[in-house]
Amino acid sequence: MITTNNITKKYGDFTAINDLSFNVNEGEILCLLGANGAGKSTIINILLNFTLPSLGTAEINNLDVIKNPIKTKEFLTYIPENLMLYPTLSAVENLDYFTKLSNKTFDQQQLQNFLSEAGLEKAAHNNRVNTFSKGMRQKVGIALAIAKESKVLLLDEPTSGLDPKSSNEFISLLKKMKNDGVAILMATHDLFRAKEVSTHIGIMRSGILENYSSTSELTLKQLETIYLDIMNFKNVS
Amino acid sequence: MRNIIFKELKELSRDGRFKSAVVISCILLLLALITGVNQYKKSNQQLTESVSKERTIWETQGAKNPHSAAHYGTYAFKPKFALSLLDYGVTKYTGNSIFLEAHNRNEASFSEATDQTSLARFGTLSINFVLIYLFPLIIILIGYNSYTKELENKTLTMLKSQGVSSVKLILGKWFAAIIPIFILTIFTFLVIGVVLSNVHDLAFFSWSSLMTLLASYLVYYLIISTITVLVSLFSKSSGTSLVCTLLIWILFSFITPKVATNFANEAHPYPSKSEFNAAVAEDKKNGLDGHNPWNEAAQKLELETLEEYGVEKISELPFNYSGYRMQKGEEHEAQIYKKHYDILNEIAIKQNKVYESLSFLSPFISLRFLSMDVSNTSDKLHWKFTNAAEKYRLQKQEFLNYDIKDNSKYGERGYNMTEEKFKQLPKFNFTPPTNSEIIKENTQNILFLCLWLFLPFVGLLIFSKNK
Amino acid sequence: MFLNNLLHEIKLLLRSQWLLVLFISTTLLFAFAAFNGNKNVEKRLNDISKVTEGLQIQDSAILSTLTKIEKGEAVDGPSWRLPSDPMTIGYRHPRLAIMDPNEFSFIATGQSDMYTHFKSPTVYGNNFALDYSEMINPVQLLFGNFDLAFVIIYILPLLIISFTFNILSKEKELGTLRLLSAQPLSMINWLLQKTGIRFLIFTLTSIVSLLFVIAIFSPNSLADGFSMLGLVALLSAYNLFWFVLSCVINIMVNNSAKNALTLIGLWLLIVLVLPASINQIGNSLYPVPSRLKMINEIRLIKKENEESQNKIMDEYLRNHPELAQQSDKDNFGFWHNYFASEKVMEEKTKPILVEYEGQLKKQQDLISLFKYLSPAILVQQSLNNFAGTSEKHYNDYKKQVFEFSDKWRSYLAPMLFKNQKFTIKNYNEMPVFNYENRIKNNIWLSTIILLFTSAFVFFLFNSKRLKNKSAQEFID
Repeated sequence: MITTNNITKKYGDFTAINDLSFNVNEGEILCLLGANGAGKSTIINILLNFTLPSLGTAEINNLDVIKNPIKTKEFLTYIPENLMLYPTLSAVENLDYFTKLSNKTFDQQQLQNFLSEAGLEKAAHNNRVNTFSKGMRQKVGIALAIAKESKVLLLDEPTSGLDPKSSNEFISLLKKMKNDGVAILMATHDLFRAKEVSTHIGIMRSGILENYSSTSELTLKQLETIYLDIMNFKNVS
Repeated sequence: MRNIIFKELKELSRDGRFKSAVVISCILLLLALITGVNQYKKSNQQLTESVSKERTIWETQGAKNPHSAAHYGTYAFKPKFALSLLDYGVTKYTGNSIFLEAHNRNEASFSEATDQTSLARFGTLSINFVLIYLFPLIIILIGYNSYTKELENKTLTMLKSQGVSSVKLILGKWFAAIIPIFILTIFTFLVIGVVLSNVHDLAFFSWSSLMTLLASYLVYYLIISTITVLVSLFSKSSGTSLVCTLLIWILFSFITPKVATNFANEAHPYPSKSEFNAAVAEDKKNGLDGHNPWNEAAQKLELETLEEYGVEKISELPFNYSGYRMQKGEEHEAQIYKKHYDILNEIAIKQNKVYESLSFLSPFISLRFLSMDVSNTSDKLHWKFTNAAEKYRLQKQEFLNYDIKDNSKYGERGYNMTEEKFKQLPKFNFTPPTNSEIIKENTQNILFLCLWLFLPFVGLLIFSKNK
Repeated sequence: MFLNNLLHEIKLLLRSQWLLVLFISTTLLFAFAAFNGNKNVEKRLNDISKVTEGLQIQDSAILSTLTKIEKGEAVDGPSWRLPSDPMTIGYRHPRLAIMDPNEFSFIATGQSDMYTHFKSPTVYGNNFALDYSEMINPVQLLFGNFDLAFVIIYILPLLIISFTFNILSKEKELGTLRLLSAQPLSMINWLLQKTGIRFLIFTLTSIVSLLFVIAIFSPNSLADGFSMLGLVALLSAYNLFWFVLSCVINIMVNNSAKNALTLIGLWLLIVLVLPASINQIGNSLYPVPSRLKMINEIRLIKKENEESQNKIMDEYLRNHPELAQQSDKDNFGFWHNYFASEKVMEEKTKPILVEYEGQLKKQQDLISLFKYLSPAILVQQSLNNFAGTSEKHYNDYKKQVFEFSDKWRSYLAPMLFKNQKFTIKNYNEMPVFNYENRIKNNIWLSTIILLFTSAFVFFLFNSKRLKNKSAQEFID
């Protein structure tokens, strides 16, 4: 569902991503781990066609994102690190606007159902978004993914800055979506959440995918060791 | 505080927008100066030519009856003043020559603006244009975010934690906002001064007037920078601060003056020219204020004159009575003109009062009037010129009428004045008021400017303490 | 998507109360400006009615005297001052040549504050060299009027700038831009729609408040639907120009504070600096011909003419034998002499004046070419033109007065020379001045030019972006 083939991204002399290839299928969650500047966000930006790769191709639902920048976005939902909505509009109104931009129209009841499905309390549906916390705004984002029936979810640091309760809620939502067959790519710092939710884990450093493994093959302890080793510039075989 | 000023100036010198604004202003100033000097030279040359040609025409009209010569008349030309190079004022809108003839007081005719297209109504690029419209904008550009940027960059708490007093901080910003403009302005005035002292045939140039202008512009810049910093102090974001200061700038320099025009016109309307002429004709017919018309006054004058010289008939007087009577008649009519022009002047003064009283909304108006006055390009100066021309007209009439009185006989036909005698008519001479007289006339404007500086500055000190 | 964006935009604007602020401020500005414009027109009409009344009083006196004369009753006064003498009519009771305002004059004061709107050309005298300037405090001319033209040219662009300067950058700074860009839509289309929607909202608001204000202050002018449509079209095209400019800056700069500063800079350039510089440079390159020089030349001719006046009269009578039949009568000697000398004076000074007017017209035409350099000048000139207050209208009025004075003279002068009496019949059939607007309204042309300028600016900066549907440019 999400495929990258030998992607390299250079900014002048600086190499942000070096020869990166991976694949995320339906019902899989790939967590990309790594420090700031490792290239996690850049790969998401490339998949969104926000930046162009220097080399290589990327595909969503078997469509090249560079050649079909608009078509590919029909299949995906993107939740940025700090998802922002129109502050003077309510949750329903925001969802209404964004779904219509994706060429889908729903009535009030359906929109409310999506929001409830995403875990947003009924009382908040018609409140203006400027009173919302980050967790609540993210739920609107998930509701958008549900409404769009997205096959792909791109998440950039979704759990940073969330309190543990919201974080737990969010993770269970992701699991639910995974079970519904959505392919999810998630960039994060958070080792523990990654272990908890993902099907695969990739560890990046300086634009290189240093390690790629199936989550079930690793214990948390092993994962931590590998992660710290990579971060400390040690070669891991 | 010196430290704060230096830091601000350093930031400024790295700001591309500020640099380009300064460069553009300098180019415009240069353009204004070059075209201004050219135009000045050209029109000054035309003026001196016209003055000497007109005088030659007058002096070479040959032996002629003085009254014919009075009808033939002559012209009074308004001189060009050195500082008109800096501020064109209303010169475009007033004529610069007056036809001086017998029996009639004429207005200055053919203003430049009536010969120009309506493009001229957008204003003219002059040094004053840059000084009065664009320099304040540079100050705004420097100062609009002086406080808000510290808020937005979150450097304010850092500064506070260093123990910098907010008054010092704000004053530092204030100084930083005015120093570049002060340097620029002083430099500009120096260049103008040097250029002006090197222009040939320069009339009425004085360094003291130039310095008065400099001082008034600097005060205006102080006002603008005080208000800018004050607005920045009250604004939550740089954007709001920018919008507010720009709004104030537009209010000062465009909206208030234009609104004042409509108020002034509404409160004290000018008569139309035909209305004015009708009123003059009415008084000429029925006498000043409806009594003592000239035909009655002339009879009285005749009796008085006969009595004074103790003779019974006009022909027995030791001079030609008709010349004497003509002069008295001229003076009689001149009084009627004086009355009506005084009324007109009164309206103009009242209108200008409306403008000046709106100075409490805009220091721009005070500066505009002050600048015009000091540059000798105001309507006040035009009134002085027209009055001087009228005085000269009467003098000329007396010269001609008294020639008839003294050199011809009563009832003599075909008397001519010699060509030589025409040369004895003194030349028209107009000297503008001195700088100190102008300053005295403008005390109200100066007072308004000082108040505009004083009150916001006190506000700045008080509010910066509380921040 | 358009409808969705439209509803969304309206919702956002309503929530931020921008629409209300916009509507109230434009209405207030327009109302105050229209009020002022109306006052100016009122003063003009008032002045006109004062002189017309004066003439009517004179005329009724003339008519009653003429009736008496025709009935053979006795009348007071010397015979040469009686209205039965055509020269008394021609000199003492000239007709009024009135330039009435048109129904749109309140929109732009234009040059109307400088010139007179009525002249009485006498049967002789320098009718081709009349001074048409009106008495006015020059300070008023310097500062100008707060009229609708001012609001449209100066203030509306500022409102547009404040309405659009952050149309894109706000989404970026708010953070919604990333989410938007992740939707399946072309960002450039989205931005154009958003700008287009705001343009529609703004223009509709300003048109509604303009028409509303006009309906209050000058309801008659609404009757001329086609002209009103022209005004609305010009206003919309000028608005469009500023929206296009703002849109381009939003894409190119894409930072709210920098957008605002850049747009203010452009405003300053287009509305203030460019016109003032063009004016100064234009007049420097193509100076107005010197009036002083012209005065000198005319004075010289007068001087020469005076010396040969007696000879001229004989010459004149030789040239016009048909007029000379009554010339042996003494009381016409003066008029003959005067006419003759005036005629020659006119013949000698006319070339100078014609040359001067020619040079002036050439200069003005050259200067008016510059109007294409700034949309603000273009709009100002078309509004003046529309309101009948442009320099062209006044130049043409002068011409019409001169043409009329010719008619007037050729009606009365033969009566003098043929020793005819002026009668009531003559009063009824003598020429009357009717001002006629002979200047073409160029409001549609200006509208089209503005549309082309906007399109040019738009495609100059956006042609590449229109093809590129990706969102890269908007994100960074």
